[in-house]
Amino acid sequence: MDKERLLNWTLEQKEQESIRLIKETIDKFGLDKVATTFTGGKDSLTLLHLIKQAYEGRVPVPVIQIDTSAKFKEIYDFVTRIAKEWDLDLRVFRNDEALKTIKIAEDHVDCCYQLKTVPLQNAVRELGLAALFTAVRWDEQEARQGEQYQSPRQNPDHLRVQPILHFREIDIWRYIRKYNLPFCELYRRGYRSLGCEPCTVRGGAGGPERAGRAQDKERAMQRLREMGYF
Amino acid sequence: MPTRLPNIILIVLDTARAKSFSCYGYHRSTTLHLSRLVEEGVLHSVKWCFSTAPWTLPSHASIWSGLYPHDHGVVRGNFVLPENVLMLPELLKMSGYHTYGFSANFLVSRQFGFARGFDKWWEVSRELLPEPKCEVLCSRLSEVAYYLRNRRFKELSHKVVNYVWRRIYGDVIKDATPFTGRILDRTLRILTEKKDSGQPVFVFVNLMQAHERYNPPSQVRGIFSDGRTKYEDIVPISGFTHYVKKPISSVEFQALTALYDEELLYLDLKLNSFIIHLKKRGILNDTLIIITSDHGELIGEHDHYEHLFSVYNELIHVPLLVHFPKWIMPTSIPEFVQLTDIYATILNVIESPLPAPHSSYSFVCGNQRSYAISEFTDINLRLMGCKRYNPEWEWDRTSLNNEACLINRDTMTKTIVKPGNKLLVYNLNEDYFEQEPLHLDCSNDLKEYFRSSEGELLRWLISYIESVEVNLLD
Repeated sequence: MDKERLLNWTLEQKEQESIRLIKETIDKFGLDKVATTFTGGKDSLTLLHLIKQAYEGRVPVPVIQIDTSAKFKEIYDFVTRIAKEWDLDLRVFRNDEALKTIKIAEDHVDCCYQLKTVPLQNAVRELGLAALFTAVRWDEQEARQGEQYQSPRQNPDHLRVQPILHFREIDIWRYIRKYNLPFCELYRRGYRSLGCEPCTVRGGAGGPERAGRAQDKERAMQRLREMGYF
Repeated sequence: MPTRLPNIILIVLDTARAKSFSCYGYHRSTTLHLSRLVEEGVLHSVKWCFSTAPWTLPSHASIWSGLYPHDHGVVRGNFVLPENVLMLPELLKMSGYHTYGFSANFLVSRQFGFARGFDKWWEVSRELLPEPKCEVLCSRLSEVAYYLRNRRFKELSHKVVNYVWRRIYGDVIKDATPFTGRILDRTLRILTEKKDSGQPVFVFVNLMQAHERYNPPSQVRGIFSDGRTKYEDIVPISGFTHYVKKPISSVEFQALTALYDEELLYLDLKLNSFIIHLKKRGILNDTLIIITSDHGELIGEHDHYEHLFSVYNELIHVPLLVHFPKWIMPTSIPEFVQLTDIYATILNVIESPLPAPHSSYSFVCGNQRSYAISEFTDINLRLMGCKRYNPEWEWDRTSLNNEACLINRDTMTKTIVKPGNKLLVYNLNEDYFEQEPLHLDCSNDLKEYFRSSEGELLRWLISYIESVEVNLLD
């Protein structure tokens, strides 16, 4: 796949390709075997709107929201608003058992697994899905560079379809402006990407560079000393 | 995507206060050339531009992010730019710009995340240093010989480490002049080289000319000062001596002010020459130039010296001079802005679809802000410095403390919030130098103010300042 070429397409070309992938998936598996995800963020908002474009202004498949119970209030409000305004068939999935015992954000990996992965697996199983749309993008982070438009998954078996892989961050915003879409107000407070509240900070705390923080601080203090600040 | 994207040059004159610019009404002719450029309409000067903090890191982070310090979080021991915020250079790169950064301030550095989004970034390093002179080399060698002859190896090793450090990072604090010249020359070269490339260029420049130690070059030395007194004669060790050992006298402050003013005079000459060259090379008309500062300086006013002490106007009222390309010249430009507004302005000029934060107002779209906020929550650093220079020193909480302020655009009322629910209110139209706070009991205006929509913000600032813990061991 010539990724560079796809990334450099015009917004219109990107939209057309995404819509083609959406239609192709639904044609292949049928409306009752496909669903999409919505987090309240800008990427899944774009994906939802592309589905609307493909199906004459409505989202004809169930929309899965994974509720970790730890998201920002603004995200919950925004999801509720869009679900109402766009007449979505919103299905909320939560791991209630884990929520009784888990300490949110204490162990990041386990927390994400219990509160995101498990309910998503349950959603695929309960809805009997053959394919699930997600709003992953290549330029989001290094780990996403190798992603494919279609990726088979196990436990349970289904096909993960990623129709906006070729959208860059700026394309997402161009799309949102082009169609004058509402977006979560947290983006107006400087947040670039959104997740659960304890793990989504504007700063880097909790990020991958965490181990280097103490050392950073030492060097920072050295520089401040050099500048005569203390 | 707009059909035409301007080049963008953002010049931060580190530590330059608006008060000392003649184009802002200063009695000395420090910025005659810039004043002339304003009169000719080449530059537009914005009357009130407030920094969001009285020191480098939070202030630059506000320019980069469009956020106030309490939102971007580059305060109180966290010096790294937040990772989950789209910074100005990143969004320009994303929008098709070639991005170049020159920083003479080694806090505005790669280490703290400021190089993010730049195609090329130069900080105070060997690349920006002047070539070593022969006599300097000879003097260094004889120094080494002296230490070896006298078997003073420990001191020699300290000297060598220090020398290597200086060679790597430069001694911009001692003499910023070579860096200023070199950075502006390189900026000009980049813009000239890229002129016909068809791709717009963004250049960020930080110049440390006005930062202490004030060491004006011979070209301007003696114009305001006596020409003989050096910074080190008045401040031999550190500005902290003013607080913990020997206070600087008013006569000495006058001498320091003269040296500071000469640094501004030199900046005025260099910026004038820079703009002339841009014009001659046919670059000026296609370029948005923003000249500002991250914070100012206190040189004896309110009995303070240097920055990082308070939110008085000497520290937070900064110059803002803008050159607009003709095709984006706005019909009117607000007279009351903050450094955070640069972010939204640039987004607006390049017609970027990205959202600007609520704290950032474009000054080309007519949507004006009604208040300004400045925050200082890093008193720890100064207290640690005072303790370092004099362990016996006692902290006077009333004169040195964290504080914040809220300035109302319509009334030009400035409310300074200090710990202990202490408020100082000034009317900046009548008392720019903040000499006589208004009496709160008599101030009906303030009661009105508390009732207004900003009253809530003021109450929040009071609780915020109250909540900041001062921990000397941090």
